[in-house]
Amino acid sequence: MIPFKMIMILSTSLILGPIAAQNIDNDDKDIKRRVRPIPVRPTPIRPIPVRPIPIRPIPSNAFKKSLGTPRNMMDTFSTNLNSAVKKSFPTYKEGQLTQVLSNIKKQFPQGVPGHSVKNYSLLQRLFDFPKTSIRSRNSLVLGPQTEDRQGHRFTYGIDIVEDKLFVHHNLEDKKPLPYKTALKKLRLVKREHQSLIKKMGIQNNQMLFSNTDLILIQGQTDPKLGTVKKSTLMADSIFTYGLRHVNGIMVEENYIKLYSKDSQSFEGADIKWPTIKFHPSIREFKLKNKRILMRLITQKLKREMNAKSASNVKMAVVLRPVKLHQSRPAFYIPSIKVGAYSKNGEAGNLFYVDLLAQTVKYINEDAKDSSQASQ
Amino acid sequence: MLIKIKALLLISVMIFSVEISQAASARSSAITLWDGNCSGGTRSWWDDMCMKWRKRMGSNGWSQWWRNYSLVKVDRFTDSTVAAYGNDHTNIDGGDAALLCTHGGWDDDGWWGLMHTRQFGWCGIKQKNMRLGKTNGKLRFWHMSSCNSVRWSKRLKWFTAAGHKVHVVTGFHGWMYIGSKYVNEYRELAKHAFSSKGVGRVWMDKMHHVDHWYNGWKTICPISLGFGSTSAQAANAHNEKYKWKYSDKTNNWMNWRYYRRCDPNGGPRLPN
Repeated sequence: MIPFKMIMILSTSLILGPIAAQNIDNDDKDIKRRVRPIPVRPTPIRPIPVRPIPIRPIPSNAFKKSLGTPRNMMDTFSTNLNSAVKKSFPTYKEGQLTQVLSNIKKQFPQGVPGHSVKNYSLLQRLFDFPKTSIRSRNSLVLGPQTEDRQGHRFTYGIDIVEDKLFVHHNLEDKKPLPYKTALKKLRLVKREHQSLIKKMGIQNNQMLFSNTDLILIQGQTDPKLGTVKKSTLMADSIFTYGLRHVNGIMVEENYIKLYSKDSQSFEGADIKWPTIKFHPSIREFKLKNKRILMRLITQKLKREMNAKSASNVKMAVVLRPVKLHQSRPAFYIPSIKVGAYSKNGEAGNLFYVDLLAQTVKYINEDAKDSSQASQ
Repeated sequence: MLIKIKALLLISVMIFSVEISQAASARSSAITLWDGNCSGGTRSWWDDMCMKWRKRMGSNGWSQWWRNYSLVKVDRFTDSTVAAYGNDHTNIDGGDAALLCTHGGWDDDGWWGLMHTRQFGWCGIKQKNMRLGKTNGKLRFWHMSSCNSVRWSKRLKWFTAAGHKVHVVTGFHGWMYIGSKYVNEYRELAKHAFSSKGVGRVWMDKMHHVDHWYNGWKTICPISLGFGSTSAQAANAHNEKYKWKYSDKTNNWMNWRYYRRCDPNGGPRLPN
């Protein structure tokens, strides 16, 4: 019989041996090895059946524009916060906004559908990962069982509470693309990302904003050492970033982030595109009077912004997630998002004011840290 | 039998991870209300952002250290080789990874961070007075939740502060926002960069945002700086995870990782 200790040592070295070799140190030997290009098997992506979504009326541009600070106020600074809030307040018509919100609730009684990769089985199928049974509902899944044929490790996870999806394909040894080559590949990778988004069941008509571009790297020597040497500008990643709306109304904390090293070389995904359910206690979408909203916003800004400096104030009507229980998915409520910058360069102040006249209860997650650990 | 072997393998992995993690320390400092003798606008969520990162590092097995609010003063960030009052090696430089959450700005010397209370005549910690890393401390990862902490035109100034062999410095070009929606990103930095993806990479992934206002939008522009003796080592520094330590290097090279044409408030658009 093999002693228990022996099994532990053997299993540890079997599992962590290859990982440790890749990660614990990055001495020159490792870097030389990394320079060798390794062909990467393209990640086969299988479509997931998507629930049909009813066709919604396309929100007019005028309506969408009325939900945000007017364009002429986007870059304006003022020391008069009353005036700044008044001029920057969105120009929406209360009746129209109430109608749009009511329509969303009527149209999607079960909630606005999000992505369709709701469990590990579907995620494994989408990315062609080995099928493994995963009990944990809320964890990252690591390990050699998710390596591709070239030994590149996959990490993936689904966060049920946050309704988030995460995939990372470790391609650290794959060389970045020369900048000009990456520019030529942008359109192709954009199409690949769009295809993946579609296969995840994400509807194009919920996309408020999307952009595909490059993450660049470059280096140089310390000028204090004498003649400066510079490395070539390279594209380390090609990414797609997306934001969400529902019937024209922006949804906070919902996004798509996709990364590729190259075409046919998928690097990772970070997706939060959940089913959107309104707060259960919302009875009707009667809105607070604009004057009351402006007063609430101005009061908070006066308390928190640096009085010595002029401020820029921007606002937008949004749906934002709030929690009734810490360990359960969020519900959504209509709010005014406020972002304020001081001209003196202090960090921006971003906060929300509830838009509904009715008070809805949710957890206030603002917690105070202590000054220091008790000694 | 197969289940038993799998369970043994899992237990052995867990034991191995804990052994690596226990010695390490995550350190943070945050200010929300400037009610001392330095002045700044209130940002009530800033301590939540710092705290989420630190607590998640704690749940990864690292020890936690923090000094917040009125305890945020220049001596904790100043190196003793630069000023006699400097005491960073028992404070921020005494951890393996550290995060500072405070207002920032920039001048000819690079970034400065606003302290809560004036000390030795200073309300701001200046980047030029910092020396981070093993030579006279321990720090591998230096994170700043602070505006213009890595302003593009001043990024090379970080060579001086990194002269003591810190591995990675992360911050922002231009202005960034503080608010509830950003809190979980700091937790996820600690979660995803612990063992699965490089810290510099996850900083870039998590902190990048388009702030959309329907009639216009601006971008939040995180930047990661990797250091090393050679060009390849500096580029590879972005891959270092919290859990697995790379060897310390002489920081002759800096490699910057950034979003092309990122266009923030409070700073020019980043180049191609």
